Amino acid sequence: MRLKHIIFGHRLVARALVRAASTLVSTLGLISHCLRLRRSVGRAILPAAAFRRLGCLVGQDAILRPDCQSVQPDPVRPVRLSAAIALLLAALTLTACRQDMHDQPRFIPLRPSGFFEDGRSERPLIEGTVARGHLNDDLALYTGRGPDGKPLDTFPFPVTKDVVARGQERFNVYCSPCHDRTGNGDGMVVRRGYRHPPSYHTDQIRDLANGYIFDVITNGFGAMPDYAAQIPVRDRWAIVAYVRALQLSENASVNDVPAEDRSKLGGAK
Amino acid sequence: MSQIFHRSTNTFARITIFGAVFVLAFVTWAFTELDRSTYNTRATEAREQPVPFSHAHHVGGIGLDCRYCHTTVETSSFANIPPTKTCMNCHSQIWLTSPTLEPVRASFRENKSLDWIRVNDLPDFVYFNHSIHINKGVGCETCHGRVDKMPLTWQENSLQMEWCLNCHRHPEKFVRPREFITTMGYQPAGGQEEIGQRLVHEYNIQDARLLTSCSTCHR
Repeated sequence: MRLKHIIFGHRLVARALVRAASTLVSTLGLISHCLRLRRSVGRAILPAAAFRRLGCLVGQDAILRPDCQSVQPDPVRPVRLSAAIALLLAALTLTACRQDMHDQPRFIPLRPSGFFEDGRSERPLIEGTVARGHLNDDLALYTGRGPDGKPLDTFPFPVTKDVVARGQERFNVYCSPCHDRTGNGDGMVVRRGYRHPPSYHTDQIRDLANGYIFDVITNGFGAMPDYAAQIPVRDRWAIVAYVRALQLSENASVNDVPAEDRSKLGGAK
Repeated sequence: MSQIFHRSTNTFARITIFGAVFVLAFVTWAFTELDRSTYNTRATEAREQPVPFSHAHHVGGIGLDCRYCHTTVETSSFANIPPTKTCMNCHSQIWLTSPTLEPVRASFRENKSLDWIRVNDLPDFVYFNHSIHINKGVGCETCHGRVDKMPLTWQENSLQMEWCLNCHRHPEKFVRPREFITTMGYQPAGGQEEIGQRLVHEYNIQDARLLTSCSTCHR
């Protein structure tokens, strides 16, 4: 056992004690409140004369008790004291582990379950079933292929400036670790030893159909894993649009810049 | 029969009654301080994990965006812990033989979940939704701290109600533009007060009365 285990273990115990102590204080208050209440209520409801008629003890230490046999003054106190001590002990032992409002017996995401064999409370889709609204029957949108099975060279929805901006953001999150922000394939992960992906800025890649790029993101290609689980469908298309924009930007000449903006280039060619 | 107590005990009794006020005040103060202490909240305490995953390396070193792994943070109440598949995206080729990563490979081979230890755990009686915070301009860093500097992950803040209310009372002091949501070490371009006010308006952030209503978080 290492030192930190000992310290850590003690911290857990100490934390439980702190919690127990604070509950103890409130429990004490509650008990004394209850006892006082019983006494005052008893007096108010039954006047001393009535007690005497019933043959019960009436005095400083009297409380309402169902059995009125005992007339000796003493037995009352020990009973109450032992009950209070028992309550306190119960409070002490129980409070430290009572966290059931913090950790309710229900499944929040990723909470384990002892019910299923794999220990997961989140269940995968049963094979052959389709969740409502997830039929994904729009071939062009979900596969990037036309009715003839060939990759589309169009987009399944209009590409606006917002779509490209979204694509840029998503590209920088999911693709740039390998492909680099410019698409040349020198990303950080590649510099750490991952296989070098081809640069986007070759004729071979420029000639690929949009649907083909979409398919690579969806299903992976070569060393590249699939990203279907990480990137939703429309975002994948947005990334394709941004890849196209990147390719344009890296293969553009001054003539592609509108005449009125050329002065901003600072003489670059 | 002589007196049991000396006369001076009268004074002693009076002082004790007077002192009780201070004793009670001290006990109350001590309890609140203990309750707030990192010792009790376990903030800043790095947790041991089945694999010593380092955010400092992945975020600070490689520069991965939070959302590369925590993909659902913008759309769901829960910022998911990535499946082993996400680890294997890179570690199928990098650090292939590292014994440290054996639990990850075993998890992938045998289709068994890695038992990560939860670091930020709100009580179950608190409703919390990540996506609304992200979409209203509360950066990851605002609550989780400089994750890019955490070799092992720890909880940055107390996660106590008074801490939540700090921001729910004055969101303008904390919100940032959405494009910097995952930025670590964000510095506002200008005065935070001014930018915050603008964003609160632009993102339709509710006023403090609604944000601090009981049923906003306890529903």
